[in-house]
Amino acid sequence: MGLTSFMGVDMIPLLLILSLSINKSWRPQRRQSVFQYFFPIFFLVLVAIPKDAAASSRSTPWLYQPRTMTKGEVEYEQWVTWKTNKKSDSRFEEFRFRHEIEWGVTDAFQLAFYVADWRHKRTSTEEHTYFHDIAVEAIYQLQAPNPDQLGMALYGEVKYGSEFFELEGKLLFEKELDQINLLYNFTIEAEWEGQDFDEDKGKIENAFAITYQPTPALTIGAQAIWEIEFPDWSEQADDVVSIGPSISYLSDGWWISVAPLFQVTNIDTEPDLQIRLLIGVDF
Amino acid sequence: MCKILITLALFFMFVGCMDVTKVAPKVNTLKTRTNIAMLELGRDVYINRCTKCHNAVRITRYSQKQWDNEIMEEMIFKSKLTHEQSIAVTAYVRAVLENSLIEN
Repeated sequence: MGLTSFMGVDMIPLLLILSLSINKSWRPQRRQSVFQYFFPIFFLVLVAIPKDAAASSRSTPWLYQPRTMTKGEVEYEQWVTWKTNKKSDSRFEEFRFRHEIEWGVTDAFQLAFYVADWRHKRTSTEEHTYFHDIAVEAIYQLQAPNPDQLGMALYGEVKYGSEFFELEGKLLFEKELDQINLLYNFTIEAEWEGQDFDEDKGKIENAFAITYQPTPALTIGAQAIWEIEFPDWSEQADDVVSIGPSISYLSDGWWISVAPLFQVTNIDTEPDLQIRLLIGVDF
Repeated sequence: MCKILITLALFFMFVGCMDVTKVAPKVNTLKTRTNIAMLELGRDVYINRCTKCHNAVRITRYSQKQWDNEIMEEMIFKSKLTHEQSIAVTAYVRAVLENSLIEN
């Protein structure tokens, strides 16, 4: 049974009607630009998925796992991140969308293409929707996480956009302990912005998560993320620490993962609440 | 800071005491002495292919009947295993379950 059928009932017409309804009438005029293409494209992808495929899920949307796809497997991932509650700007709100296609090149190496990262941002002075970047991501598994050993992988990403360029590297670790998993990601990131790419900054991130799988299909957990920014690669900006719970569900050929993050430091220019939703469908 | 370190130390002590070898026992710990190569392949498939999507489930959490009727066929299909891999992983799971019956 795939996502497009439920209790034996074909859900495709309902999903399409739902997408059009959200698109045409439920949203205020101002928001139409955000949702105008999102739902029809997303549901067209769902319609296209085959039934009864395996799915390589994520147990938390804020951390990567050193688990790579099986050779030849292709997956579509839809990301939505909502950021809000910034003390320095009460009107601040941002939606980030990512359309990603992942491909298992070998059993231990996968590539991903961010077809488009685009954003809708509202601040006290403006509100606009804009394309941000496209990207290529590669994950090479050094050691698979399983009961015998610590899982390890290398992650690299290149992002390019209008007046934006970014390089990102990660070390991914995971220890599987029966139904409990421990995850750690170390990230280092270099970013160049501006007309001449002359505004540069660096970022170091430590992310930890613990998850529990009561059944193979369901994962619950908690994560903590500690970010440190280095504007101009010179002095260190304020640390930002966020924590939150997560829940993931894996089904036939699709999975969903959602997690809020609450800022526990007191940095006025950073959002106090972020929620990320990931949906993956296998081809 | 001290409290955090103590909590982390206690947590890792707890984690260190977990016996993960029982999740998917090594073939040389089983009573079976036949088809060792096939059982090794079955264990390799079990701990490396199943974990592409989820944790390796402790085999003895489910009965032979549940493995045969509810789990194995569906998982083999979803994982797109070859015929050889399917036979090997089925034999390995059966060997682990039979072994646990002998031990208990």
